[in-house]
Amino acid sequence: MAQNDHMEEKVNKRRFHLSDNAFAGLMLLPVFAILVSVVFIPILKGIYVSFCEYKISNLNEPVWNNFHNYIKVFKNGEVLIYFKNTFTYVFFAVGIQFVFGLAIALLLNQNMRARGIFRGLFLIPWIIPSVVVAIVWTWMLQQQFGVINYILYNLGITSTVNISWTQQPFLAMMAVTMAAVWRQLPYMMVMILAGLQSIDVSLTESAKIEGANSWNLLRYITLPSIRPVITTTIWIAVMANFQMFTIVFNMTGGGPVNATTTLSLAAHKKAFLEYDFGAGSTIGVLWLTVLFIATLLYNKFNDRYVSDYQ
Amino acid sequence: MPARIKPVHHYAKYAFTVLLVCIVLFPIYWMLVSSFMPNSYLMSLPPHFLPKNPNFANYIKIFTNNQYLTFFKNSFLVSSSTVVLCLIVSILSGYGFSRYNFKGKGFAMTAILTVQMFPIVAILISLYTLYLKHARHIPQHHRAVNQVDSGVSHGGIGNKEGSFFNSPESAARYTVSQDDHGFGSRKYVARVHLLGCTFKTIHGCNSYQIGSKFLCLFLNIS
Repeated sequence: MAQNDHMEEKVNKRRFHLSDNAFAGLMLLPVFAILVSVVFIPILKGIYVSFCEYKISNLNEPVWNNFHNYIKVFKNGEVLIYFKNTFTYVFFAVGIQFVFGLAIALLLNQNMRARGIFRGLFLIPWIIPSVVVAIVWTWMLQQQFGVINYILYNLGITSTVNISWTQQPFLAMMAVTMAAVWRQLPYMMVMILAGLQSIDVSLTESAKIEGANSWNLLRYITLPSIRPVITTTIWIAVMANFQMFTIVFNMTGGGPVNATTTLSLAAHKKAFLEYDFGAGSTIGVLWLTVLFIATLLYNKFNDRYVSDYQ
Repeated sequence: MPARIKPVHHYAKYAFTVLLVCIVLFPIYWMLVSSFMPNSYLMSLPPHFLPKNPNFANYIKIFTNNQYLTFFKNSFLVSSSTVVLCLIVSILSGYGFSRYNFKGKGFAMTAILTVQMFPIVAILISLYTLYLKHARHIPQHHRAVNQVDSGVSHGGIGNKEGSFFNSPESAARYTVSQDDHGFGSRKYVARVHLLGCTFKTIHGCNSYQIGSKFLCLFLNIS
């Protein structure tokens, strides 16, 4: 009797047994459900409405208008300015933070007392919310009472204490880039520092014995050893800065005269200020296309590097 | 045995590091100094590098204003619901990816990572229009309208809409901008309030920063 019960239990267990694939699928179901509903479907809808006249007045019935939105955004040439602004901002923000991040990481990788404390202090800007970063920098760069204007004037770098950072195109871009670099520098530093700590010490020691100087060590040992970390970190930083909205929006609002209007601000302006959701989506789709091509190029570059390395 | 004298570059390294730390932390120091001084001292030249007549008036103002307490509550709700949702989903998917090998695993992981690449504003546009359409059918709409109505009847629609959306960070922006236009339409405010709450929670699983971006977007619809 007991044996029969045992057998029955075994059969029942077998009946409810899930295959590994099914169980893994079950585990992944929530994440895909969320991603599909809040990312993929909206993206597909965005691509569709970029070919439609879609405004607040016809929210329920987008009207197909072929490539009219694309023609419209290219016709006045504004979208090219947005692309130029975005590329300029991303290039300088990522480039500067890489150079400074590498320098600080190299400094903090050396043997020194209180190294942990210094590392911790350098990380602090990372925890400041972007909106607060924008406010602090706007205040520091304020035309009449800004502390940066005062310091620059007293150091003899500028001839006047009244510099309007947000009213001149070049200075506005510089102000936004400075704030973004300040906020993101710790990320770059931490990633590179992690890479530096993984370098085999015997490599650097043997190079030193061979007579390599500091520059040679950096050029031929350190940088090649952390190349995967550098490429990945830069790529993530590029993606993050391509999406940058908060700092630019709060510091300059895209001005003066669209000088700091990046793609994210342009899409926002079209969709949420002019209520032309079709045109806003068009900018989004163009942006997505550029990022997609950039990702393909990155993957190709990465594959070639991996095959070279192997 | 005499103590070994350390070379100059040893001390220069420390001096340089301390200088860098000072430069990097200066904006935070300036923010702190500014928070302890009244506007009359802030709006003066030369700037006061040490707080002049420091007081806690700004902090008292923040903590005695119910509006700001609401901002903190909103932040807490958004961040805690985001963390809980993220944890649940991430633990499950992380376990699935790490413990099992299945067909299409690489593709699935790439698909998840690709999400980082998508322009957030493009996603926002679609979700905004979607929610705008469906918000009309959400029963809570009436409650939200009531809340806004009471805000209007007490002459405080500007404050009311602020407390609906704001977290401390967007509240900070809101306070500094001193540009409280209000939304104009009560129903519109109510709808946007609903959209905001729903969106903030759902999108938390994609990225916490989206929340703040979304808040910024909606604070500027007027």
